[in-house]
Amino acid sequence: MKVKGQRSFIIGCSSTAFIKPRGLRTTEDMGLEAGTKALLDAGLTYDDIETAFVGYCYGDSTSGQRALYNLGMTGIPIINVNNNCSTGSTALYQANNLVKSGLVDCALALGFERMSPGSIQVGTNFPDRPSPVGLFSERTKELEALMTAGTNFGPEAPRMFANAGQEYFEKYGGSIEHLASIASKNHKHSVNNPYSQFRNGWTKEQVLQAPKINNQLTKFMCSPTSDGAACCIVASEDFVHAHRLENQAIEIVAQALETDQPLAFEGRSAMEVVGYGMSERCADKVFQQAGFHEGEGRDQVGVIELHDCFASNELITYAALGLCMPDEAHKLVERGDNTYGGKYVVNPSGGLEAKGHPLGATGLGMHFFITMQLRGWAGPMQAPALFEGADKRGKYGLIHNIGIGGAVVISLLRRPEFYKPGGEDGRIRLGYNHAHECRPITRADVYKVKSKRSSAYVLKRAKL
Amino acid sequence: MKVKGQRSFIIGCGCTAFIKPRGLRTTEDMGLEAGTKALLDAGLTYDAIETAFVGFCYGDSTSGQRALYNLGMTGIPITNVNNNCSTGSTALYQANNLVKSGLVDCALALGFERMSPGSLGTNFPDRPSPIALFNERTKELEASMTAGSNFGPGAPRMFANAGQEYFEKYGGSIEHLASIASKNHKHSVNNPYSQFRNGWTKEQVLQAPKINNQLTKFMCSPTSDGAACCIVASEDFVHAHGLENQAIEIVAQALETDQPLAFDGRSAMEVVGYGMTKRCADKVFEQAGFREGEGRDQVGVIELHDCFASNELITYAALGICMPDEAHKLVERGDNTYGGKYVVNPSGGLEAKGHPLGATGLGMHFYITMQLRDWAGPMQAPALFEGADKRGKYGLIHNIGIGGAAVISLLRRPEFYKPGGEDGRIRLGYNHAYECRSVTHADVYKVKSKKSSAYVLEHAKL
Repeated sequence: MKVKGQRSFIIGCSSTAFIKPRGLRTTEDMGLEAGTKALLDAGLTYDDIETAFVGYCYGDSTSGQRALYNLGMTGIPIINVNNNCSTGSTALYQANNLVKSGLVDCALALGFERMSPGSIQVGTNFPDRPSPVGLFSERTKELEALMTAGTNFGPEAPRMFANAGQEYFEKYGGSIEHLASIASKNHKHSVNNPYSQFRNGWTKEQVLQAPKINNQLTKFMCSPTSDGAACCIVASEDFVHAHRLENQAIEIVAQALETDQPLAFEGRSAMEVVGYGMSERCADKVFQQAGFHEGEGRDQVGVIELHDCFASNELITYAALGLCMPDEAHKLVERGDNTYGGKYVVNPSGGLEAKGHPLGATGLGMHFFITMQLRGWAGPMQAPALFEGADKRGKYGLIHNIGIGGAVVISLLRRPEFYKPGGEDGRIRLGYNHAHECRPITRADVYKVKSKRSSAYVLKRAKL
Repeated sequence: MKVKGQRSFIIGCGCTAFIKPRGLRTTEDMGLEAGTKALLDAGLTYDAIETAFVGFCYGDSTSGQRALYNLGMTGIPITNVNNNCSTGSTALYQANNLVKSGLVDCALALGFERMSPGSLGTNFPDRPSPIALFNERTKELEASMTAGSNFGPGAPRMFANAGQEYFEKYGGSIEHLASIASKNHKHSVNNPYSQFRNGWTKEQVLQAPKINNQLTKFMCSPTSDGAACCIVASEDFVHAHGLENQAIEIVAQALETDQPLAFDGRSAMEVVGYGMTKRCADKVFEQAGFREGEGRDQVGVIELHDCFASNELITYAALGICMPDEAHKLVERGDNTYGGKYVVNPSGGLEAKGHPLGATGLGMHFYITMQLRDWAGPMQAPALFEGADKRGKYGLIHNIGIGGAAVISLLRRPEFYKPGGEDGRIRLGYNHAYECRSVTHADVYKVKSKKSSAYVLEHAKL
């Protein structure tokens, strides 16, 4: 794929609280909240949106339209998309491509999920047919015979990531202690995040003592199922200047979406099954897109949101992203280079483990949190020292979002050279700093952003 | 949305038989068949594909990857998409945008569906349906029409109400619906891909079991299993691969969603997307360079969304191929079949051919591409290439989903089109425009990527 194209920027973004799934909120209501906040953040109305992509895994088709029709019925192209756990970033990737290509100046990416409680069950909504991820589950189980921990147990998703962790331990070192350290780090970060599902701040000991899910993972090393929504608005440079968004526009400098290669099945590797190679190849492409030589650029990243669906995936992803050598991910943990005071702040939001994981929303939430970091708005979550170098654009933010089946999306974000804080920005327009305060929206908020072309027949159903 | 961009062409396409849903085939197997045929048609391997979009409504996420991984695991971006009944065209719309924009030279759009028998239902009974408001609104409007309350399953009911509104405003009756349905069923006799090839007469259609006040069973599309695939490429790619003998240009295409009139109009026709179709058609003809209201008579052959016969009726008007109050007269004149002004649904349409949601829109583009290549054999619309302009007439596709979205495309032979030499018929070994065969392992081996996995492909049932 050609990567040249126009520059593109996240100009508005938002999230709802991520909550335990109890069927309390509809996806149309959560989508309305996230969409409204993102439009307010950017100072736009829905009439400015030229096309939209809506990501979700569970729910009938056209759930995207049902949510967006609350904001307006303007006839714009709307497409529902999914890619398992990387659904949210997949929606953003489509929006970004449309802007980069010059086909539109302003595109919206919305993601939401309303889940069933408990573990992500494979194939539960379509029990009449083989699961599309069946081969991944099959392969990871075959590989257990090659590892010292032997046969594993428990639900399929944590099992495959636990096996990947086990392979890492056997190849390079480290142990469940490192997983507990990662999980505790994320749970502690989450205490600062009012959007998070869990704000318990579990210690390493508490993580280790939690109920065992399988041979490697305890409950607190696992992301929960969650309900929630998030939204990002992407725009061209012309649009940024026309709407005077130089005080908050964050550039998507590079982005790629990568799928599996044969090694996922043909490698004798549980790490490959869960997309280690996919992440590595994607990261290499993204850093190359950003203009770096092979293997370089990682030390220009300051803050990261990556896909810790299970703590073992965070561990191996440090290596896959190239933040450390392939055999040193556990050393990175020991050095504390994954939290405040260390080289990178990884998952300042609390990550999936603590913040929650509503599949369609997660990737967009990651971009929300990193955008806020790079705006310097993140308050108690703020990674320090992002803007202290000679280059006023400061450090990069990196997002990594992966789904088994599969697809991984990686983005490198950064302040553009024309970035100039000051004056009215999203914090003034919302009336609070939504980077680190989580509030619901009001009808007045919706009225500020909805299209001239909207239908009371739809909006009267909204529960805010 | 800016519509300028590179030119884009359908260079390869393939389809499976559409069959009654009995859970006999997996979506990965049907997708493998359609993808293999499309690649063979275009003379490519999967390594030529730079990105893919896979449309389906029913099935867990990443069903697209599961199907395409049969052909190769090349790391390309793959996105699963849906838009109810316009899912297939939505996948194509994405592929087309990526090529038009210049971001890629060659993109693949695959669509498939494996459905439950009977009427459309939900797999998520724990939450309100995203189309509930459409169902609600159409029922409210029954009170303002002479037929009164309707009955039966939700989807046919809303389209029946749209037909009722047309009758009350403009004329026509169930007789016209029967005529449309019979026309489609007769066309279908020539289509070996079709689910139904009974060729029902108008009388047989009228005598079929009533589904509601306006529609009988034979005026309704069935649920179906099936897959279809289209490959879109840039002009540079067409020339580099010597595909001037089969590349059909996507001259114009648009995807349109609902406006407030869908709910706020006092119109059952608006509820089912009449206005959405009309706005989309106007945009597409404008994209193609025509002035407002013009261009329709340069179309020769059409595949449109006859999920129910009443939708075909009102769609004639929405597309602008007749005045808003003359759709039933178009039927009476026979301007919707061979010998008339347009051949509408030469494939048999959804009513007879079948309607696997994710595949349907891509199937429509397959049939129109074959018409414009002049390969369609017994289904061939005559007189497409008899004017002064060697590009011949346009083909038009209309694909709509409640919820909603409409996709309309105008296809045409490009000025450089030159039949002759090796083309998809030679490469497949038969003319797949009007012969339906399965694929063999040898076929798959011709098109699969160098980067593929036996671990996946060994599961394929061909």
